[in-house]
Amino acid sequence: MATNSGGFSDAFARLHVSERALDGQQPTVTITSPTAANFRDVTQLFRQACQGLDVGQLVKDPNFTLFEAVGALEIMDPKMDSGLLKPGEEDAPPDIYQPVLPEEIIGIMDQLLSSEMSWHDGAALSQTVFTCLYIDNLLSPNPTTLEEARFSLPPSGAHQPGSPAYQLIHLVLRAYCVGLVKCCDHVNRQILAEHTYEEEDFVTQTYNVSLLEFLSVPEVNRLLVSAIEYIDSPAATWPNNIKMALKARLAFRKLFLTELSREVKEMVEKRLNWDGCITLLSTIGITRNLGKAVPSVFSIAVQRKLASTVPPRPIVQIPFEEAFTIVSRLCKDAKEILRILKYAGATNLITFFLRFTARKPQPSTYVRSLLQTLFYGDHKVLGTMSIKQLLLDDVKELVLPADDLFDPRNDLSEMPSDTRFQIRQRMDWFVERAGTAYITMYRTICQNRSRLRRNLCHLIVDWDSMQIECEEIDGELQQLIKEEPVLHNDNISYAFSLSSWVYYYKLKQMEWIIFLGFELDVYLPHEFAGMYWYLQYFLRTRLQHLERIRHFIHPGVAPDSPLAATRTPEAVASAQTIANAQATVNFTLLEAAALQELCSAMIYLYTALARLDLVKTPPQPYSTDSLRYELRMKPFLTIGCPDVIPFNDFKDLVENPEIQTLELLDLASENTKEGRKNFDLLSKMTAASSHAVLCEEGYRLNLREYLRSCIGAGVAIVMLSKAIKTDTLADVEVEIDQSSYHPWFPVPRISSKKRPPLPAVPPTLAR
Amino acid sequence: MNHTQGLVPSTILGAIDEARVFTMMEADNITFQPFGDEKVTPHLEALRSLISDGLSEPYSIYVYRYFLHQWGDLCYLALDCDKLIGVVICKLEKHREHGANRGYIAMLVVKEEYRGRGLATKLVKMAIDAMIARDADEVVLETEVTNTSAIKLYEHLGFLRSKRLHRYYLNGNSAFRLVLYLKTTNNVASVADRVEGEVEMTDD
Repeated sequence: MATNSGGFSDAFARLHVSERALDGQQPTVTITSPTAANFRDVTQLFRQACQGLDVGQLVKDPNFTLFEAVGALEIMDPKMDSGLLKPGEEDAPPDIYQPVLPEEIIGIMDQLLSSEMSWHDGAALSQTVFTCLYIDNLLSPNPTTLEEARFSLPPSGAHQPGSPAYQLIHLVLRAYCVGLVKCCDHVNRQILAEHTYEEEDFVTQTYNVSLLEFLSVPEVNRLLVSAIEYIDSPAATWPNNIKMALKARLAFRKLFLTELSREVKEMVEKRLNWDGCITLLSTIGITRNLGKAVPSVFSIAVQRKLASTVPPRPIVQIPFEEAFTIVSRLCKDAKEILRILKYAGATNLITFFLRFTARKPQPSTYVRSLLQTLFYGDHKVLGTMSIKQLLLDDVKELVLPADDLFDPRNDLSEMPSDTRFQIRQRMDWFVERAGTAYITMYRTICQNRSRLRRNLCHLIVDWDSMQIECEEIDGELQQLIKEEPVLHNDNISYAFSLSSWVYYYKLKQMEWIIFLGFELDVYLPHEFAGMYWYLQYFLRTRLQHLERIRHFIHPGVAPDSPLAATRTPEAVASAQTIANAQATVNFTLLEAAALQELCSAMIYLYTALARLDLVKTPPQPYSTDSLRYELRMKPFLTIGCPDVIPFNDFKDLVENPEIQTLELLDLASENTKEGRKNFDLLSKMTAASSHAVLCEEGYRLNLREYLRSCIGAGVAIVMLSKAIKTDTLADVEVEIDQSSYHPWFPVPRISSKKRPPLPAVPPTLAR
Repeated sequence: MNHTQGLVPSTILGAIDEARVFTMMEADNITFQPFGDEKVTPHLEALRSLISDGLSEPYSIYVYRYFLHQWGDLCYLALDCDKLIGVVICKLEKHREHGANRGYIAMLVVKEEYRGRGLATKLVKMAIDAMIARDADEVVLETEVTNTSAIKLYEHLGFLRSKRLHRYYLNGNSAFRLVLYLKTTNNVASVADRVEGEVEMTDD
């Protein structure tokens, strides 16, 4: 890369095109609005400067990175320059067609809904809502009052002021457009308030166009009501079904806006929401065919004006049916997440988060953002609780530590030498340390699935170090409370309640990372056996850990503990609380055991398929199996426990070279049967004992999907064994089915190749 | 790099039959050569139009110059006589200060009528070999999840999908990050660095 030299540098130095220092110092960017005085024609200077350059010589600012290169736009390139006019095109704003028929207004409203939902679905405003010429006409003059937020259209003979045709546009359509823009305003505010990924989940960019932030919701609602009143008045001489269609759309806008603009506090207090929207949507669906689309009122030309640094992007307007599905689902989902406000304990809450966000298709970005706000808006859990309360509920529901850790008297002690004071110090540390991680886990679950997996890889590193830190605190606490040691697996040991709890969640997150790998199609079929091996390894570790937790639930303390005298009676766990913790652990054991059986079945099944060459490994001339193993294990390499095993051990454990293939399939069959038995047991349990009271339907659906994978694997095993026994493997075909089963357990579908039909009579004899 | 403006390595190719590939190449007078630099290889304009026809996202001239002027020796061209029919564009640099020496395949395109002959595989192999010669630790790239032929090409060389990137491209499509390790990371420090790299939101 050439640096400036000779005559070139001289000319270049005189250019002064930017305020940037040429030595690569950080530039200070000052953008001034262009006035005539700021412009200077540098064409000649550029030409002169270029004379000093050879072909292939490049001048490059060290700060000009790939990021700038990719972000740069070339003026006059139609793929990049959104302001470029095609030959014959004019810069003047396109004439807006002014409809006369109410059917056309219905059509425009429905097209706008399609645009709005395309935005919700991830496209930019410049590709969707802003491409509507009426929205452009409304927002372009930068209105600052409701009065100013109106269309300015050329006079038209068919639209005499006061006539129904005039009111259709200037009252009905205007109210609808104002309402819709205001809805976008509130959606944008919500998305910006919580953690989502810009561009990836949602585009919040407004190109400096005001979304009528200054308008109040009641003001907009009054406008919508006045439009409805006009339609109801005798002045509007349209058929009743048309009136109904228009009114439903305006009323929906009003209710939708009301819901979108609610404060968390209000949502916590008023739970009955969204029903009105859902009812009106059905009317909109029924009257859908009354509308007459007016495609000409949407134009890509609007992008030319938007202060944007991205290349032109095509209009996105999903079909009405799709938009209708999205908006209907949004309303239902938004209503459904209000369920979490009916707090039923931490483990129920987390089940809801897991099931709700795992839905296919995933709930919209807006709803997932709203869920985060409901969960932890205004720094309050569910609008009413502290992080501490939720966190300690979870800890108590699962491991139930000694009572003395939670005694309210600890909070009263102010003497640093006092045992209670010292306990409180440590518990405060725990709440601070684990609380943030715990809240982050919930919020992470609300992210899109790809991000969830990536972020979990990050989180487990933190949970791993937190586990070690908590072990130390556990050690100190057990001395402070004089915990009684217990015999466990031939060792005298202590509960280590807090670190046990951390370890449990760390293991779950490690499992999710691999399960999500299956869901997101990250693994190739030839890797399945190995990845299921790791899953069963993590699950087996968790099972052992749960056994330990069960053993140490509500650990005892020495009778001569100095705390005994001042213990608050209410702080002592009741027999019921202890039984509940035991039940939670037992349920979790059953669930983990069911998953472990299914994973084990999958290891054997996919190993058998690989041996029979029915699942093939590609040639892979570069790299090695052990390097690929290292890459796969990357998220877990730094985790202390359970550790990643050496590659050769892993290979042997997965491939089981000493076991015959038929025997492998027998083992797999045993696992599916056990798994099925466990899933059957799980499905017989109540929602309460399954910790699924907030999402019973989703929970049971998920169980059924596990069961289906279990049965599907069973069928594959039988077919494969039969093919081996009857020596018909050559006829067997395998297709991995990712969609009909649980997304975490794709099942191989075994079928017989169609043989070419044999001729009825051998050709040589057919004469 | 901004995730929405990711580069799209894109190629379509059918079954690879090595024997057939070479006979076809001889018959067609197909040759391969490194780009070298702009002065000796006057292919920049042809290269740009080949890529912009093949890829959905527009790239400014700066993107091409960024790669070709720094890593011209990691860019390979496929020519039929004098006509440019395929190209692979790459870079190789430290990922973070103490990170791996990371090769990146930014763009890969083969002219439509020449697809299905293994030309893309040949180009990628030349690029990887050049990176290995320059002591690369790993090679990474992104490709659209729907581009099955490109995914297959890389997987048949030894790449694995390491993660899925939601709505990575401007057109709303998701991507897979594909990774090929060329060396082991024996020391803990570099392992830690990789784990950290994993969670970086916008690493290229």
